[in-house]
Amino acid sequence: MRPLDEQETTQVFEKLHKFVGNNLKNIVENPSHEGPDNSPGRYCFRLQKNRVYYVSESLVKRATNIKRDNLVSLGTQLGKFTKGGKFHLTVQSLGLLAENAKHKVWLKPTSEMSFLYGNNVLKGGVGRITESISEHDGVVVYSMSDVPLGFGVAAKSTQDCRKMDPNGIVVLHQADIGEYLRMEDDL
Amino acid sequence: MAGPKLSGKKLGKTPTKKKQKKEALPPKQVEKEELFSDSEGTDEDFQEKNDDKEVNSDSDMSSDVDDDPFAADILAADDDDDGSDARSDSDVDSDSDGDDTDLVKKSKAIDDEKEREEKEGDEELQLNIKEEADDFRLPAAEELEEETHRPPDLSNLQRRIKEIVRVLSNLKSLRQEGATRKDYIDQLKRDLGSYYGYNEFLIDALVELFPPVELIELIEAFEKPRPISLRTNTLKTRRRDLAGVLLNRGVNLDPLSKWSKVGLVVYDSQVPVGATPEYMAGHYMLQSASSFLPVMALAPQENERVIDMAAAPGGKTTYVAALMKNSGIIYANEMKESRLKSLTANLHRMGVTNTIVCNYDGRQLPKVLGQNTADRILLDAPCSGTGVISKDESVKTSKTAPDIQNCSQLQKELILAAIDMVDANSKSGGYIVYSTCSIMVDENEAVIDYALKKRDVKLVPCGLDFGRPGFIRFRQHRFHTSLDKTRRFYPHVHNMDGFFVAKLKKMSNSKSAKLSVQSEEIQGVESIESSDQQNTEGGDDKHSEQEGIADENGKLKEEVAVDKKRKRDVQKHSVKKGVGQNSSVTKTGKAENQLVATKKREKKKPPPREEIAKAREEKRQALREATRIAMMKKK
Amino acid sequence: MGKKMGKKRQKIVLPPELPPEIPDEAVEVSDEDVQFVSENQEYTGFMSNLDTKTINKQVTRVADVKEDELESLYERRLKKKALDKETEKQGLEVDPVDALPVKTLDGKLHYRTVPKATQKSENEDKDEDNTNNKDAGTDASVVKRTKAEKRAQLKKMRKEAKKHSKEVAAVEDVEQIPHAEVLDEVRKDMTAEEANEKKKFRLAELGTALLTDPELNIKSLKEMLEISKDGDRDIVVLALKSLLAVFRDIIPGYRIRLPTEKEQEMKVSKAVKKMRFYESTLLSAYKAYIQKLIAIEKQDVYKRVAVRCICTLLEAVPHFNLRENLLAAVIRNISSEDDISRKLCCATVKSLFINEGKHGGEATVEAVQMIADLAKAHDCQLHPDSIEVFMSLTFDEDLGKHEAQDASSKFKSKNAKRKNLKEQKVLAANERKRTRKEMMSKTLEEVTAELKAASLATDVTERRRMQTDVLSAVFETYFRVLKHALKPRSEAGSSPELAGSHPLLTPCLNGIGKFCQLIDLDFMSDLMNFLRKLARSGNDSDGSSKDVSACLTVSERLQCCIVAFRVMRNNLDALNVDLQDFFIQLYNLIIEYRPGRDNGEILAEALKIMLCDDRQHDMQRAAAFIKRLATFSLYSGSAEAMAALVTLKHLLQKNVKCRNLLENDAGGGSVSGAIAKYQPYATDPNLSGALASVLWELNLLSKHYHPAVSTLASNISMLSTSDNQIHLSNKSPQQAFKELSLEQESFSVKVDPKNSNAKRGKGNASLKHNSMGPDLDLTVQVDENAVKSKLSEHYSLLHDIAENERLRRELAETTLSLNLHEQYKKQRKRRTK
Repeated sequence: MRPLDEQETTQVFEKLHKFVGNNLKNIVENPSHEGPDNSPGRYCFRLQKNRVYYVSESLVKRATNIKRDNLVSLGTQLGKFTKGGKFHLTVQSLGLLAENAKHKVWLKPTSEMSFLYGNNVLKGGVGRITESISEHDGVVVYSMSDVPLGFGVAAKSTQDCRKMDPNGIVVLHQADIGEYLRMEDDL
Repeated sequence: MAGPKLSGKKLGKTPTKKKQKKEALPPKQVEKEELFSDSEGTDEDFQEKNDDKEVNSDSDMSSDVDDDPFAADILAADDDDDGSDARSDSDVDSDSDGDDTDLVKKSKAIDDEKEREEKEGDEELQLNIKEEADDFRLPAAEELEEETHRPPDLSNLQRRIKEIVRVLSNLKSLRQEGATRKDYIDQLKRDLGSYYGYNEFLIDALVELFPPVELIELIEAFEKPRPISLRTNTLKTRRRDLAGVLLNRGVNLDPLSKWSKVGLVVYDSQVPVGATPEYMAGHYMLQSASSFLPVMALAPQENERVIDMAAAPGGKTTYVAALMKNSGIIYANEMKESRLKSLTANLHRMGVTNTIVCNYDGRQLPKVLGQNTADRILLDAPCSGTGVISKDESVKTSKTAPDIQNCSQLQKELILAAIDMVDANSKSGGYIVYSTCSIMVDENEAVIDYALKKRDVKLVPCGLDFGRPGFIRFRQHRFHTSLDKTRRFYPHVHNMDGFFVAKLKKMSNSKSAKLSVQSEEIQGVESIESSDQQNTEGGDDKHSEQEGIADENGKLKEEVAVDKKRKRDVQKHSVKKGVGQNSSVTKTGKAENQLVATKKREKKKPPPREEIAKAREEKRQALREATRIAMMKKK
Repeated sequence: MGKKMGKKRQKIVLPPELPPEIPDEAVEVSDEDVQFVSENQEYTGFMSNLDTKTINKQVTRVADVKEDELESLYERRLKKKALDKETEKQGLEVDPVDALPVKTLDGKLHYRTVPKATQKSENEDKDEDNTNNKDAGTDASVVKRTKAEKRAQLKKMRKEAKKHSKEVAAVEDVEQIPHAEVLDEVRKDMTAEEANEKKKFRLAELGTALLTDPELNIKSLKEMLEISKDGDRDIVVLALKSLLAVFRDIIPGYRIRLPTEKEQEMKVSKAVKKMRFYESTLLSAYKAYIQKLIAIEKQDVYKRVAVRCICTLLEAVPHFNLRENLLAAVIRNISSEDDISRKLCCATVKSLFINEGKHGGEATVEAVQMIADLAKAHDCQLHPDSIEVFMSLTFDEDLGKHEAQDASSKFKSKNAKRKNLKEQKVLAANERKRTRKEMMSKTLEEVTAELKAASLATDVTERRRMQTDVLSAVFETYFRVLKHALKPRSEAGSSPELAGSHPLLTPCLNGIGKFCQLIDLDFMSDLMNFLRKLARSGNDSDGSSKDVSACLTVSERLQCCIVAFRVMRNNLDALNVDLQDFFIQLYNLIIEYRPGRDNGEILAEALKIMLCDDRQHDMQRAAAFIKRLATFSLYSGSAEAMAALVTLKHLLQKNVKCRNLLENDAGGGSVSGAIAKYQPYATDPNLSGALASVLWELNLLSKHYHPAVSTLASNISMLSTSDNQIHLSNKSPQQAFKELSLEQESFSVKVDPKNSNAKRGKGNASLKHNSMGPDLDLTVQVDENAVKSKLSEHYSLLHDIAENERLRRELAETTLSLNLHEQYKKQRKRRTK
């Protein structure tokens, strides 16, 4: 387990910023509530076995005495670096993204399942969409009852979506909570 | 003298009786527990102590009272099992001799005659009613012989099982000539084994645990699955909302039961309950009712340090996290690589952020996480799984005596490791919860008893107002009387998997058991000097066996020595100024507690084990004498 | 009408018997007049030259006694004393003159004429005033009627002329010539005032003559024009007005086209020639008159008169030649500082917009485009009225749709271009003003181009083309205003008498709200961007809009949000868009709202549109708003509080999950996600973690001094247990706000006497919040103690809460120190060992 280096950090932040915009500030600066100490301090990013974790500092302190290869996970996993050194957000980060999301899409109940099987979001399935999404923004996908289902990348801006036909793609699938069942082993 | 019947009744009744006695206590206790679960329990351990004390006194008292009946039924049971032959002959005689000079005998005989006649009378009535062969007789050896050759005819087996049970329920009148209880029992074992497909060993074990009637119920219960139950993840939703959503999805469910605020039980469902969006979103966890119990017993508080020594697949861990509202820290350890994935997946799915998942052998944990560092520890020990046969049929045949022994051994090491990691001085905690999904005494009471002997811990109520108390005596074992604070759960009684929960509080960080355990073994402790002295030597003789553990836990003698010294001078101080302030506040506090406790115990202390044992021996002797005399007389 | 005037006159100055009505009034009754004539023809000879007036007068009296009109007129008159005053003055300074009668050669006494003339003028003034500052509708109707009858009269006149032998006309001519000569020589030796008298008389005479037979006396227009060039103000005024009257009547219902050369050569019948002559002279005279008007309209002595004439003309004969010049003049004055003339102009323009029948719409187009240019020229520093007029425009329903489709079909082709243009625009908004302007105009050219193209592509009616033009011009203006509003106030040189730094913003927003269904989708996004920037403008400068100089007022920003929602509402097509940013704005605005300073209705409206009408919100946001509304209603006036509570209740009823706020449940905190603690200062509702908190405000509010509020609060807190108070929930925040801010009498009756004065106090309090009555302090004094007691309750409660907090903190500290001490001791002991 080690802190991220310069360019890893930038990679991670860029990815996050796509989704949360200026709320990235909150993500970094919010005081953490995990940890037994009276003042657990803030959250920090740690790299462990090419996975990036978002952890309360006091947890990090207490994880130090665990051997690297016995440490499996801590705090919240945000994503992982691929062999090629690219950073991907994984579905575990959904909670964090959902709390700070800037661009949201709500799915009609009928189209929830199709998304949870890893399909893209079509215009027909969109129940609601936040205004001022522009192309390639990170979008968090909710059910109509505000249960975060996953996230993806906007295929079109909100404006263009207005003119699309009902089976045009609005959001390109990246991750969804269905993965907890579909691919538990390679999370 | 209807031993089996009586014993059966006793086993069935004792818990209820005890409930009645304690009913003043449990509800209060329970609601306390619930309070803790959501209020910041700074004064928690204080209260704990209190009702520990109460419980101590109370339960001790109760155990006093219960002593005799227990003795009696254990006695009976024992006789049924091993020394039954002697008594069976006696039965034979008492029935057989019709002509006797002794008036008493005669009159008795006459009485017997009478009652037997009328018994047989209404027996016949019954028989006529269900027109059967007038009497059930055990299959002869050769019949069994041929049975082994041809495939077992189940209906026949079943009928026979029923019959035997009936006979056993009223052996005295129904037994056939020359057949002993043992014969019946053995036959029953054989039949059950072949009918339900248990192996020799397991049947024996079960038979030892339960009287025939209950045994059948249990085994039947093992045959059918428990209802699907799920736990609301209070980190993400509330039970009311979740129930609403699931109902809309066509899941037919109800609140689990009064003792859980987060449990739901599913009757039937159009959709797979394990694949709804809510499930994926971590709004609930599929979890058997029994696995709620250890966490409820643990009652973790916010901002505590909690260790789950065998976490996978994370059902209990996530529950703990939910109770702690993601505050504090949880070390979730799991030894098996293969189960880590599901563990982490569940943790993330349920939105748990305060855990560190590590992969160690539980016995190594104290080295890694350090001694006396945790507030609470949950040890859901790996076990033989004899409680969850309904889930896993293989257990019926796979488990054998050595397996149980291995489990038990491992569990003993684990529980010691657990105890070592708990900090006795923790503000809010200092508790260990030990649980298994086994109903074997060796894996449960035995382990706890071992821990009581090895470490300075004491049992405290689990805060579960239901479930049966653990065994204090079982066959040759004689356990610490406070073991009745542990809880056993059975499929046929509580409609959940067979389960065992015990909650321990660590009294001091010393590596050796202390007053709390010993003083009860020591006869009347009049003067404090003596007690002090007792301690020291107690300390010493502990020390001898200490080494054993010492090196297995990689523990150094010095510490022990230091511990002993500290203990000693604590005692001295307390001697000097009876209830004295001391250099170390905590220690004196403890010492005082100890003393007070011991005094209490002395006041109404049950005769220590040896005594009980001796007494029982005497009784047995006396009985044997009587019978022998009787025989002599006859001759 | 005349009669009415007479009454007024009597009040002010002497002359007992009423002056004979002026010819233009005669118009209104001309047919009776003509009947009369036709019945007894023998009179006509002399009647034609002298008696018509009196007859007319008689008949008029009988004719147009319209009671209601009189009444209304009367009230209006009373209302605007000031106006009367000056007109009075006008009248008075004339009076001494006509005190002594003048005897002309033919021995007629002429002391009537002047008062008549002035009066007539005044009448006109006043009529116009009334009509102007009142609805243009009635005015228009009047005009119509006169027109119709005028035509009739003209016809009759001709018939008459034919019927009677020509000598009548001859006689008249004969008469007129000597008149002229005589006047000339007389003028030599006559005193100035006498000359004036002459002129006035002459005017009257010519006027009447013209009216009786325009075709014959058409030439005398020139003479009247001559007179109007006179140096004396009164004369000029009179001349202008009489001319106005004349023109109003004699201008035909068609547009005069002057004959081309070859038409000239072409041989034509006498009648036609005569007609041509008549028309040409009329036209030239008219031109001269207009030029005169426009000329003197510059010099402010005549300004008002000129404007009035212009307006009347434009209103009466928008179809006629030279309309452009008239329009130009009108628009020039549309935002003048002078209320009267401005109002006149606005009314005129409105009437133009409303009854396009008269001029078939071209006028509308021109007017709107001119206004647009005006706004451009003056950099949006105009009077609100000048934009307000757009509100009276009307479009075909299908218009907007049609264009939308058409544009979108075009969109494909221009896609690339449009895109980069958009981007530019986006940054343009925060660039310098100049570039923005260019950008704007470019876009707008495109708009027009596109709209034209759209309309042409699908062969549309002329009407449609004009409407599209109008539309484009209108939106050009609106967009410009928005752009301009984005500039910091300092840059936009604001004139003191204009409301706020951006005078046009409010009417502009209203306009957009009204016409939004006509906006082309492609510009929707830009519009939204502007609105968002505007709404946010407060926060950009600094958190609170305290210093109004730095940004828009709260009300304005609220309005931006409202409009944004209107726009979205009116064309949500299949896609239902969630206007996050505007919710965030509202969330902050609620706090910045100050009862005294800002407009409660707008707030209530915003609550209604954004929170009540809107479809479901996500749980976090709803909870955040609920919490904030509760807080808001703690410190705001009862009316606002009521509005807030109604909304709050509505929210609670709509999203059940938020009922958690009503029950103090352990689950609440954890359900609220990562934000385990309520952050009251969070600017984003989604990050406030409101679900972690509890609506303790309701508890205080149930002790509110206003019974309505307290009852509502208490039965909201009941909501979680029993949700069967639908009867209350169907009331909109606006209603709630209104009836609370207005009622106190309804209130004090329905309450028992004991605490009735407390109630009245409340009524006043709420009123004061709406800055309606500063005079209520005494009543407040009366029930001060009642309120005080209530307040003390509130504050004691609050104080207790604070106290507990403090104690808890101390406890924690002490325990901590104790622990430290213990550890220290322990360590020392170890060391000693």
